[in-house]
Amino acid sequence: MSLPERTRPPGCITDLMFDAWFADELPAELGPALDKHVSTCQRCRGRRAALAVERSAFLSLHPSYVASPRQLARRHRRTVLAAVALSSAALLTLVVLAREPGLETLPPAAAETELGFAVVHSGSNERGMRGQDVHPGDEVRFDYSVQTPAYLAIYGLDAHGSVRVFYPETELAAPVAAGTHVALMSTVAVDNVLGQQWVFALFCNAAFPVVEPQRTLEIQRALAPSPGCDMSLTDWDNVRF
Amino acid sequence: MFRRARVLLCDDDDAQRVVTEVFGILYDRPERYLKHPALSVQLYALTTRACFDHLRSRALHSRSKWQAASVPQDDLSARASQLREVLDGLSEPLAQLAVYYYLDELSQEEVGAVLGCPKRRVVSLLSQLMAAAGSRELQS
Repeated sequence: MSLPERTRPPGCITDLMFDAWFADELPAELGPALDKHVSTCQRCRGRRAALAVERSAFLSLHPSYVASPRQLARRHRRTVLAAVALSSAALLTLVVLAREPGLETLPPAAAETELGFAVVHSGSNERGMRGQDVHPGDEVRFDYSVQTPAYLAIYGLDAHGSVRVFYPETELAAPVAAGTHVALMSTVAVDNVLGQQWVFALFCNAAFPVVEPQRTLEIQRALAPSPGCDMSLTDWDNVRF
Repeated sequence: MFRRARVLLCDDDDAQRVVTEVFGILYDRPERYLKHPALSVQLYALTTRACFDHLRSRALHSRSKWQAASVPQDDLSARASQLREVLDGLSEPLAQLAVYYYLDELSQEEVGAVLGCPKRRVVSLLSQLMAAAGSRELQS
């Protein structure tokens, strides 16, 4: 009945610090030092990868929190009470608060990036919508929006759970310029695997090996952006004519 | 949060319950927690306390509040299991300290941040913890 030994080597990164790092809560000057440490420390490299996998697994199981009806009612009650307290502007305040603007709609994780696509079919070019029907043999041209230059890789996860790297064809993610609805030169042929196709676009502030997120996707069937990265998601439904 | 709860509770379902509770707290009081600059530290502390509450309620149905619901699967869970034997009977502040320092292996500064106390207080609590664990070891 003794206390367990502490096994973390001095200087190695704790899980708490990894969490703060993932959440972008650390001072900016710490980032390079941590990066340097991870690049030379096998233990921390392994731990970072393990935590990333855990995070992806959790996010794929529980992508969002759904408040219970009791919580919604409680929040609403508090809102109304606050409105009553502000009696001088009671009517206006009550109307505004009763609508609870923004309380239930958190901004998307990748608010600064966007992935879109166009479907090229029989020579015509049609702007793609999320969940839209495409057909085997169609071609898809992706476009992206990002506020600052970034490194981009795009992955597809089909209904059979197979992962394809749609972009780029190189080993490292491709540098892309900032812009809105910038179309990529290359196109992707829609294959014969019918059903829903998820497409993940990973935008990072540094080059990364395309194969790493691909492996994560293959195992977890989900991706969670690491520090310095944003992710955008789209999907289509591959159906026969 | 889930990782924290899972290691302490040794039960995925219980861990999910605790995480849901913590999300509920965040949902009810966003102004208190979500604007904190060190949100990770807040969540860490909040989840640990929620786990302790859960363990207390589990104690109503079992002999020991630290009793694991399942057999440890990995090294971290094995360490949690070893620590669990020491935790039973410790005061809650010392038990929390033991978790942060010996299970999570936080630095003394980090423990101070999570517990909301200065490092010298952490050092003092650590010596109390070691004394308590030492006397229990002698007794056993």
